[in-house]
Amino acid sequence: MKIKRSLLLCLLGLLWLPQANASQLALCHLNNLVDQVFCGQLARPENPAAPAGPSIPIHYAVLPAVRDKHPDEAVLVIVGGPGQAALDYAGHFNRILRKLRAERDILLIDQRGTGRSNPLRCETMENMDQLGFDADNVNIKAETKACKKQLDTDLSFYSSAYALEDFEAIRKQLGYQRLHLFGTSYGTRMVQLYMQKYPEAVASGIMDGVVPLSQNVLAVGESVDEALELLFLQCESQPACEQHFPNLRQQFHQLVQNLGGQSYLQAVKHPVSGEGQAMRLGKSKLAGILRLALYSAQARTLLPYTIDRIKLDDFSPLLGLWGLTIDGLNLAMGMHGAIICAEDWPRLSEADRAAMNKSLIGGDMLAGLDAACPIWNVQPQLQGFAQPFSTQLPVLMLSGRFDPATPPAWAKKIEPRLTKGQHVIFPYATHGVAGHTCAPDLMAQFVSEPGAKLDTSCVEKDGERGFFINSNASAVEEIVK
Amino acid sequence: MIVVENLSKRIGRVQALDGLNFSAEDGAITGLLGPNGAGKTTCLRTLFNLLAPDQGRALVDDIVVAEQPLAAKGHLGLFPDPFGLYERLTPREYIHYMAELNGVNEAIDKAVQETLALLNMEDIADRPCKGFSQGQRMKTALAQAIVHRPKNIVLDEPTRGLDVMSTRKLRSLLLELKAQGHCILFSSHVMQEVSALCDRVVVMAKGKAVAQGSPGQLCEQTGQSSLEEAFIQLIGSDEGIAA
Amino acid sequence: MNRKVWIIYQKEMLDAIRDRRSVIAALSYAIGTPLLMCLVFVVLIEKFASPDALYINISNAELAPGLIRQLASQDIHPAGAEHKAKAISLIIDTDYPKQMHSGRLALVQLQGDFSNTQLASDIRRVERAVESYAREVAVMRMIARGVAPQVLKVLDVQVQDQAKPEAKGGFFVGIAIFTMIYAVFISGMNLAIDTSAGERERNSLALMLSLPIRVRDLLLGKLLAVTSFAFLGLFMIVIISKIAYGFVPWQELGFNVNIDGRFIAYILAFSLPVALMAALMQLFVSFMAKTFKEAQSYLTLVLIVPMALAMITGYDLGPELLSWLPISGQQKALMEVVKGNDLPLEPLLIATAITLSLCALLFWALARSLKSEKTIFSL
Repeated sequence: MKIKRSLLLCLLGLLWLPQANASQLALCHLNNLVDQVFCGQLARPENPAAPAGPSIPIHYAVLPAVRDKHPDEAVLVIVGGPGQAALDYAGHFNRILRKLRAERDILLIDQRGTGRSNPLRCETMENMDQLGFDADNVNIKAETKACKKQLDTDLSFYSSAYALEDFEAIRKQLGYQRLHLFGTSYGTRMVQLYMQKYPEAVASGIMDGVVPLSQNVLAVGESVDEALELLFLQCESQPACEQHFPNLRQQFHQLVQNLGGQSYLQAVKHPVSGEGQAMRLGKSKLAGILRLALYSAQARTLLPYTIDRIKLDDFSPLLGLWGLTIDGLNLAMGMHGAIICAEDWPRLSEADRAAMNKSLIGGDMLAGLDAACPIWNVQPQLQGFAQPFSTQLPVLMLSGRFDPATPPAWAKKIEPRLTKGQHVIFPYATHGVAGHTCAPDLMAQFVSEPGAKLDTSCVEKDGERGFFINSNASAVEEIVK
Repeated sequence: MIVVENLSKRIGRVQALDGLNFSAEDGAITGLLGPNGAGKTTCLRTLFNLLAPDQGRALVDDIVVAEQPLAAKGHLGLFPDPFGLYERLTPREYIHYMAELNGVNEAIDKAVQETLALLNMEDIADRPCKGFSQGQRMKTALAQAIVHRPKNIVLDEPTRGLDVMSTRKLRSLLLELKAQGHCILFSSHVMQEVSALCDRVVVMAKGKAVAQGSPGQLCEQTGQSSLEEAFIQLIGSDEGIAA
Repeated sequence: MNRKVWIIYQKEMLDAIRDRRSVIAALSYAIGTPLLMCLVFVVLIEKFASPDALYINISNAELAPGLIRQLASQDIHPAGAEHKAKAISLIIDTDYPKQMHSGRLALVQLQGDFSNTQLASDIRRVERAVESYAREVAVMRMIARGVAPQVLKVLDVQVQDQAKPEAKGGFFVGIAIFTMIYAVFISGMNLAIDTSAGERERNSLALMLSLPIRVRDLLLGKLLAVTSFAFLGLFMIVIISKIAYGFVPWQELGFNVNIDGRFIAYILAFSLPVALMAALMQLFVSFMAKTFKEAQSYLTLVLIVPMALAMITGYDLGPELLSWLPISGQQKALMEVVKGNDLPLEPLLIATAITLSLCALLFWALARSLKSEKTIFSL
């Protein structure tokens, strides 16, 4: 009888057991994500050297594992820009990391200065790319000053190194033993810093569009030139493209030369609103639009046609491509400046500057930074960037052959110093390949067994796209590889 | 002692019992003889309160069955027809179970063992009843009827389907029980059996007791020399009676 | 407890455990169902998780290289010598290039037997791939004409599911709970028949009733035995389910089926009255039958009721009323628990009260009928 009674008590006890509670986490909805997930924040000192000083909330979200097979691990997503906010892309990452989320939590953190973590953004600077705007004659100094005044803070606190401490603090707060890091573009710098400083807290790292620590991100100028050259070569290799747009390279250089420093005013219809508007087209704006088009595997197939039409004073395709960029990157410019001016601008050598000035967009970029960085006025933070990155931890690097920002060559630089490194190049992809064809599968495979050799045969399933030869379709002839 | 007084019972359209009167004394074997359909089984069922009489009453050791069925049933042991054994139990388990249900509270194992010994069943006591011969089944059925030493033992067509050896064994057991002072009542349609065993015979037809007495008395009463002739005369026909 | 009830219970259990049919009936469902479901889902998920390369017949493939590229990137290829095609055809019209180039509708025919369930998902896969290509071309055409493609999107529809994260997979858990609750009906059934109709068929019923025991006690002993079997079946299926479902990679489907200690405690507690009711119902029906076979056929019919009730609830089809009824009430409460919601205490209590009242009523009716000569002798 005694046994029976205690058994009954046990059963009753079970009935009133509290549900597993997720401590500081609250259910929340994030952009483009149907399911509820958990959101939380951690107050961190804005100046890590003064823990008692003012604090800023670092927001994060946990997409809980479908079946938490590894409760002491999580996949930390670090986005690029710098200046993008991870939580804004929750829907995107939920989709491409579906297989990873099956067994592990996905952790998204809005890096300090972005998204909801004390964002350093300025309205005026973000509206800089309006259609009628003269991109070639922007008063960057005035804009930056206004923004800096509005933000009213020491941007030196927003460097990668400080952000890394936030990440580590959140990892500890959530009780994860080790993280699988997944960084994109600038985010790969954070991955490397994390692996360098806290190797014991890292299980593996995935880098999509690798920026080696020793690589100055400002070298994108040359990357754009290379990506354009690849585009021309590819067009020449496709009979239809070659036939419709002979001398494309020459035509393009001529166009840039003709535009020169001056800008043409043109009456056009706004690609989104449809309203009649004046468009000012100068070299900077043209280069900017083309550059962003190169980021998309689809949009870049329109480039030969677009260049060809400009010759005939038809700006429609260019306008359409510009329209794509309107809701574009959504960067927190203050944070962007804080990073670039502290970690990249100060280490530009004379040779670097010369190379930038030679490239299509580099010159404008350099001029802009030379104007803005002294105003942002951040302390250079170069420790850790000089020596080549190396690690014993398993690393998966993903590159797109046509990437106009972080070409495969960058990843190849650190490849020899990774004892457990793998580098997968997607032959027809551009920048950010994690969502490309079978990349999500490869990432899931990698995280489930970080050291193992991946079967990358699926990369070959991606075929080459044909260039558009008119406003309706790409070439119909068989594409010659 | 079992007494039946003016018992009437109608089942459907048939008047199964029609003012039946008889008594079965302790220390005697009383046979309820009648053709099929005479009301023997109905009578026995009434005795066990399975049927409620329309009229009259049955008494077991002076307890009115319908009024105190549990007490009355406690004084009875039933050897049913058919036996209704539990095939998956061994005789020992079965008899033990029946002893408990019949209210034996102490020394059950001893009572079971004695009964098994009495019926010479030790060799089959721990084998499941499944696959038993008719004789083995009979012994098991009888054992459960007497394990609790009831004063009154009721047997429903006890020899039906039994072989000669089993029948002989049963007879000798009944005689032994009689000697111990039990009241034994059994129903049968087999004349020979009744004449061989019974001290008293109650001849039933159409729900009535048409005659009662010792086999000798019945012959006398009817003026017949053989019991067989006496029955035929009493019942009015020889239908449904086995020699 | 009454001593005689205990004696009868012990005997019935002993008898039942020796009855291979009863034991197999109780165990086969409890063990077989989760294993079978586990197997089916493992196979299904395997298929779902890594769809195989799909080979189909494509006519005039050379006319639509862009489309073919898109299909290939989704692992849909034209059949060749090495790979036999599934019975799906994609026919590219001979005018396709001309129409594409002039921005007009280009004809593509997708043919297959849509009633063939084996093919249906493959056909949809091809259809989706073709449509995604069409969307991509449409976007490029918009851009080429100087219109930003986002104007086509019009609305930024943010769909927000209010369910708790653990509620995903609720549908499947509903089915799983249904199979578990139904176990109380299946597991005790054979014993219920054996101990009632079987008892009558073996002619031991009359003997039992001739003994100096109360009908109530006899019934109670049998009832407890049948309930024990029903409950044992439930216990088995819950435990086997916990183990078996643990092997299914549910996460591939985007949800998890987790049978934890709390759930087990709940289902055992909530189902106890249901097990009692199931046993009573089966005894009641079986006592009405003369033979084992007859009882079996009655029960097969009668069991449709709880089956339908549990199934409707499992698929979440029925009306609100179901939360208050026996079986469905307990089941709904369990489903809420699994979804991480609060226990619907009031409906559960009412459903349990109704269940127990029904038990009392059935017991009373059964005891009464066993005192009636009509029932005893099937008159």
